Amino acid sequence: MPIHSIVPVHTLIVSVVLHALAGAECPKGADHFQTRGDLRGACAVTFDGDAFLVCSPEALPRQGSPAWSASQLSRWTVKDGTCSQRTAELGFAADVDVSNDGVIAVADRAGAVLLIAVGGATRTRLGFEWLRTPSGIAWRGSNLVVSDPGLGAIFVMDQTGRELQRVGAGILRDPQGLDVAADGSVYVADRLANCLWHFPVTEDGRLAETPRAIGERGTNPGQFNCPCDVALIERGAAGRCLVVADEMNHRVQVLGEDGAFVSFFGMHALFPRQGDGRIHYPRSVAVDAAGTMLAVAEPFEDRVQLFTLKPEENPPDAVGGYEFITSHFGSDVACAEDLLVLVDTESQGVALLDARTTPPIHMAVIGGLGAMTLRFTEVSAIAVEPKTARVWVADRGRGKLEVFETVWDRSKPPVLDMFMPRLVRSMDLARFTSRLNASGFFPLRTPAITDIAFDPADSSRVLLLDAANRAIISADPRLRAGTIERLPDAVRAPEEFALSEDGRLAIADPVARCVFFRDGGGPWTALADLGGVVFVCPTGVAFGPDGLLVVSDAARDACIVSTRDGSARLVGERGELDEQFYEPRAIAGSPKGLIVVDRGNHRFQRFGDGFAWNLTGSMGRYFDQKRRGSPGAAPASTPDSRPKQGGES
Amino acid sequence: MTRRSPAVILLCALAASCGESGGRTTAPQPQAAPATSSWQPSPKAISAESADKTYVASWEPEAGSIPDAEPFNMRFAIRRSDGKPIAADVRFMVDAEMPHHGHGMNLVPTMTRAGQWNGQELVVASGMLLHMPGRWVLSLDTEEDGVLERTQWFIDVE
Repeated sequence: MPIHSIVPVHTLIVSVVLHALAGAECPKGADHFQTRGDLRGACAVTFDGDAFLVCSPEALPRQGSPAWSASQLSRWTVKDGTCSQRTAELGFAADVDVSNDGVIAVADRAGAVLLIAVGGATRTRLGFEWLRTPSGIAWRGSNLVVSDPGLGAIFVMDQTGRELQRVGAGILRDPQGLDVAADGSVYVADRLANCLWHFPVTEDGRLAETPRAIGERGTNPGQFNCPCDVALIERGAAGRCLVVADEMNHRVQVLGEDGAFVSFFGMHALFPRQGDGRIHYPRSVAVDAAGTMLAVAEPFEDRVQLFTLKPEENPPDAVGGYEFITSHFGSDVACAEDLLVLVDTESQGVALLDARTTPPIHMAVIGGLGAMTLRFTEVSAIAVEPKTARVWVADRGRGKLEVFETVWDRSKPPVLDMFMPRLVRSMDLARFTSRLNASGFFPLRTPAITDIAFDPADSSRVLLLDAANRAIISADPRLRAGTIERLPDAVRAPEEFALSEDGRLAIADPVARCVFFRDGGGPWTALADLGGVVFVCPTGVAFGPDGLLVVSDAARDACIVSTRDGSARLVGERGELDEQFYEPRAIAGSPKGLIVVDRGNHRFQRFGDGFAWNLTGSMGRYFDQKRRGSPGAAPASTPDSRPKQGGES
Repeated sequence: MTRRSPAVILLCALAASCGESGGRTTAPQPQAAPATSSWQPSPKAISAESADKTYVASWEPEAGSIPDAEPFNMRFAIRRSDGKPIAADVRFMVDAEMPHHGHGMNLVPTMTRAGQWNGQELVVASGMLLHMPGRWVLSLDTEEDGVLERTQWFIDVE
């Protein structure tokens, strides 16, 4: 999100020129200038004069303190890299913008907007009564524009929190970062729709109800794969340039005002932690007031990179002789009995592995990127049905829940067999929602399924963790009918749930920074810690074979493992070796231990009895002996003896 | 263009068959029931249950065999396992792919309902093309009220 003009909308000033690029061409290239690392979960950036502000919602709090006490908003001077301001007491800082008079507005994904006056002394919390998951924010004159994917719309609100206008409902699918043009019109990036939406201004100064779509899904120039943010460069009469964070294409794209492709830059990082201009899952972009500097926030890498924009295209980037990553596992994993299933986020392929062996043997892949049947656009949950080994896949992009049969001869050594998975059925979630609504449930949105489980008490019932309705849906296997259980109001973004055989249920919620827990039919409890270890960003949850709770925490780069005496221990640390993590996510049980997706390292790790590490794996690369330098292993003797960056050497 | 002889095809009902579980189902036998279509499934039609056993379907090439790398039409006869009639708004889709090669057909077939016969819905898929030898997976998707269910067969084109 860039700094931009703050123009009273009713005046519709079009003569204000924001950047020094007036009349110049849109930039075609960029040179890497600076990297600011260790900004945990850096998901939004904006310029503020000679500095930039960063949201880092995974910032670690002081020992024993609640997560909201961490400094999630920081201000960094471009010239010398000093940090002049840190701000705490935020729920989950998702986006930030600064007005011309210095008021900072923060989109708090926990369900509010926070205004911070100059100096930071005065704070006002807005919209907490009606916002759900604010993810993008920008000033529009003296008002604010907020995107809320939970409500599927963008809002214009005043500084008292009053809703002035709501647009895009029923059109926007996953509105994220946005920006306001000099004429008051609004551009918003829609991650699931794979386009930008432009809301022009009507004669009365309001936003038009019907937006114009720019772009489509794809990898070619001008196409997007999960666009997350847009920043504008105004060029006066020459129009404006659109600078887009194209997350899953790992690049920044520049388009003309009409959506015509201009250029892209930022060669895809080939392995985690690669930087100096390589871009990895960019989430936010900002352009400074002069129109010459670009900031790119990459939460996957916990960093912000600064670039100087230039009129020339970047030369082709050579591919180095590095060890390539062989998989992009994350964020979900599932296992039942002998079948292990992992999602590859880059290819949207669901990998099937025989979990009986060490290492697990890769047998087949379901899907791959695409919009047709047997293709996926955004796998949001997977599960393996016990006894039948049928694989369930929720594709949030296509709005489908699909079931695949997996039949193989377990008496023979597993082999790669691409004929093995077979589609059984594909169920339309919108039609399911219609049936539920017709059954008398409160108006439901199409479920955003983040996890799937099977009712231990009734194996014919499937349980769906639904982030859109903040509910657990219990349904028959063909989704003919279902029941809804609303989750507690404090639930914000339920990401994974775990059911124990004795009826305990736990839900990891990284935005609420809690694990919601229920014992049998008892009441829900919001756990802020486990055995005294405070959750910062709990993303995965499981009950181990001993019945003890394990929670992965993406911000802590560790798993929190409960013990029988009521305490807990941290397993893992930041790193790329064994028993080290970079953003651990989902957890699933398997015959040889709990599988933890190590998303930031594109791999999984397995932990056996007592949650002791026993395997690190990516597709075709496995380590069942700890490498030197790993926790508990022999130290690395020399720097050269350490594995190359990227881990799996 | 030299027209090659029809390819030899080995057919195997895949759904709930092909060795691992269950057996090949029996094709519906023609009966002396009033026909509302211009054709009837032949005894050579290859039949299978859908994956969830809601439907039983059979297929056969309209010309009796599958031509080698030439477009052709395929006939399908579908009935519900519970004997109920298939609703008018049920949709049928046919596809074929080669999982080992990661591709499907180069053409998208057109589906045309051809009436009913003996409790079966008759459908013609026009514009099929199995453009290279090898193992194909033929799939018939039946979509009813937002639930799509798949019936599959192997086709080995030599």
